[in-house]
Amino acid sequence: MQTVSMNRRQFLKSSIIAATLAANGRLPLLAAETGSGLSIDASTGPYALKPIRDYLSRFSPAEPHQDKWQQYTLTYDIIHWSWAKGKRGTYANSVIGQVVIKRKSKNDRVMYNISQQTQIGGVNNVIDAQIISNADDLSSLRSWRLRSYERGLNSEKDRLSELTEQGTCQGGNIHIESGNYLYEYEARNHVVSQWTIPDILIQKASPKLDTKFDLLQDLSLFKPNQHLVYDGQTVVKCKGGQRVTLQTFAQIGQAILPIHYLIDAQGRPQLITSSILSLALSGQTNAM
Amino acid sequence: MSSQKPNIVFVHVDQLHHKAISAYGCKYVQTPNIDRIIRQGYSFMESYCAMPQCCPARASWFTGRMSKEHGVVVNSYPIDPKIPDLGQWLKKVGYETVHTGKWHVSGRNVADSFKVLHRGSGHGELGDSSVARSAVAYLKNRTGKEPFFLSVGFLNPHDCCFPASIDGGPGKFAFAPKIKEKLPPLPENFDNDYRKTGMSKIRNWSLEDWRYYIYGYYRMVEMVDAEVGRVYDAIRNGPYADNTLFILTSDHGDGLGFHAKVSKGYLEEEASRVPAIVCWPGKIKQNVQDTQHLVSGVDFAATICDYAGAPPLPKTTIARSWRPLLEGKENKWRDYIVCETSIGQLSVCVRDLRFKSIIYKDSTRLFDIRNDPLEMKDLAGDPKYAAVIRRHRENFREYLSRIEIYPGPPDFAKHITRPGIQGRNRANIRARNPQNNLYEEYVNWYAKVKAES
Repeated sequence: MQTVSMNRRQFLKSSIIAATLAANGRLPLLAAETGSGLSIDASTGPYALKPIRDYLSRFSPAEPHQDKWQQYTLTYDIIHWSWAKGKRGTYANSVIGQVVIKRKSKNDRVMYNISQQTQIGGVNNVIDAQIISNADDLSSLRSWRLRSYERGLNSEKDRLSELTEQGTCQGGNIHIESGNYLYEYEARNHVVSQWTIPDILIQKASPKLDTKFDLLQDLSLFKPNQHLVYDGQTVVKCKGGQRVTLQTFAQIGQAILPIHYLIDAQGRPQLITSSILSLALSGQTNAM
Repeated sequence: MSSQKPNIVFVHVDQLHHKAISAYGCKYVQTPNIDRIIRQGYSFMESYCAMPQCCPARASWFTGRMSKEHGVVVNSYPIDPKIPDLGQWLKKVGYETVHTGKWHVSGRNVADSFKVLHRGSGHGELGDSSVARSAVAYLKNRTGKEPFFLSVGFLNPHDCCFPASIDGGPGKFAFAPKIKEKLPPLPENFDNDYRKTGMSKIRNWSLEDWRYYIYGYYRMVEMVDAEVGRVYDAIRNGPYADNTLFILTSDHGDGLGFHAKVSKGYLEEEASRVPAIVCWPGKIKQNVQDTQHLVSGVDFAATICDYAGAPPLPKTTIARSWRPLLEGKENKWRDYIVCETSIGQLSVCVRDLRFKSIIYKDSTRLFDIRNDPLEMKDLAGDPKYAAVIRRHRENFREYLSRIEIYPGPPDFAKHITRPGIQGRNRANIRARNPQNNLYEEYVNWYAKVKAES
């Protein structure tokens, strides 16, 4: 069996998290793995990894990176769960796209650039977004611009699919406009995007994390009352039998299936699993 | 109504249980967007699909014909190629016909009938946002001056089929103890007796697994609710607000633990009853939940043709336009509706405003839906209700005298093989086994019932 090398700092950080958990009376080591003994999940491994069981045999954690958490670029593969060759009761994963999250901060704001491409429905679905967030604990959304379009297999952009939306969030009032229409939502909590949640964990992850927010998925779909909380440790069996232990955070809330963020000793979400869709960290740079 | 033809937006979701909407009283789900459409629109509460499986139900929406008329009697059986669909039909009266997302009418290429914006995905979590985005972008970018008929097909909550698989698919069932206080209770009619007739590998779930399945299902409903709201907002807050009829429904329901079942294909309420909401503020009645009119999935085609100023689709034997009801005009309505299935046992249900019979080849079950909406007490053996059963049998015969029964193509086996999903449903087993010819089976049964008179 292979093991992942861990430097002293990483080891200490993991140990501190584990010690804090023990002090809180929680038993994290197997908590994320076993669940209910009577569940149909009893033999399917850790629930946080269930949607990517097949992919894990090809997954190696992204290498540790020099800490420059004010400015970084994370690249995630987008993993799709499906039947294996259309056979019910089996499962397979494939990579159907990538999302690149670039982050930098300046004074009272944090800026994110998002570039996402997925192959769905026989076309490339492209999303480019620029987000300006507040420099608060949740990097709550302040303003954004999102452009999406489809590109066919011949690489031609489909003009009819092009959509640009601009939005703001002030005092809980979300306004989104796109040329000939406007829509609004009223938020009761800080508002975040799914693309900025990894940064929340990078900046703030700890076993004490227990936070509520409203989600603006794709900067368009309002999903209020989200709850993000520490959920123990998960042992991940990766490519070649290598095992790594990742700290696990769970998000539950309206209009989402439980999402698990599995973070490494540097605080980076290496894996983010939902149900049909999951993300796996494939690279990191400091460049913007 | 102005002389200008209205735009028509037909939004359909997949496998939405008729009760899984907060505006209809469900405490375990939040559907603020569908709730808003309900408040601004007209809900038919006594609404049934033509057949509780994807392809047959969808073929009925788009042709106005029952499943044994259009030929899509289960998912893999193709549509009778001679029958026109709404896309083709409305083009003839000047509509731009556009479709995005799930289509799933076997044997009919959607691109032959509609301009296709996006093909979606077999998974709602993956494709529904792209489908909604394509619809919103179309509304923003279209340049045509003609009225449009936009069909938008969302997948969710159909993703529930994957955690319902043998090993729970991608479902995180073992997470359930962590959110125990959030898990909905089991339905009142969660009935262990159904385990005897259900699919045993699914029924190995613990009770907590069942509750987690229901929890996940409600989240999938909320996911699609957000997408529906996005399309609805683009209509109501944009340039097409005043002249657009908006329709929302589902192809069929889901077991959702009712009678300890998941999935669809059977005639109990959880699978066959569906939401049906029509909305056009200022033009049709608002905030109505109509419990007095029985409606069917075939009626969508008749209603859409009526509002589009098109003649009814040919040979629509059962379908009726809802327009008089929606606009509050006096109307003599039907006394009963029929829903059919070819999954498992061939059967039909006859529903009047109070009772529902589920009629099999050799038996009948009877439920007092008004007083027993969860179908917990079969009244068929009670002599007090013999007249109801006789009346429903007569309704069934009358129904059969009205529909034009499709005998199937001459060489049926050639038409019903569908590579890639072998073993996935019974239809394919039949397809490989010529003695199980569904066409022949229902043609013979229906002929026998008609001969009773």
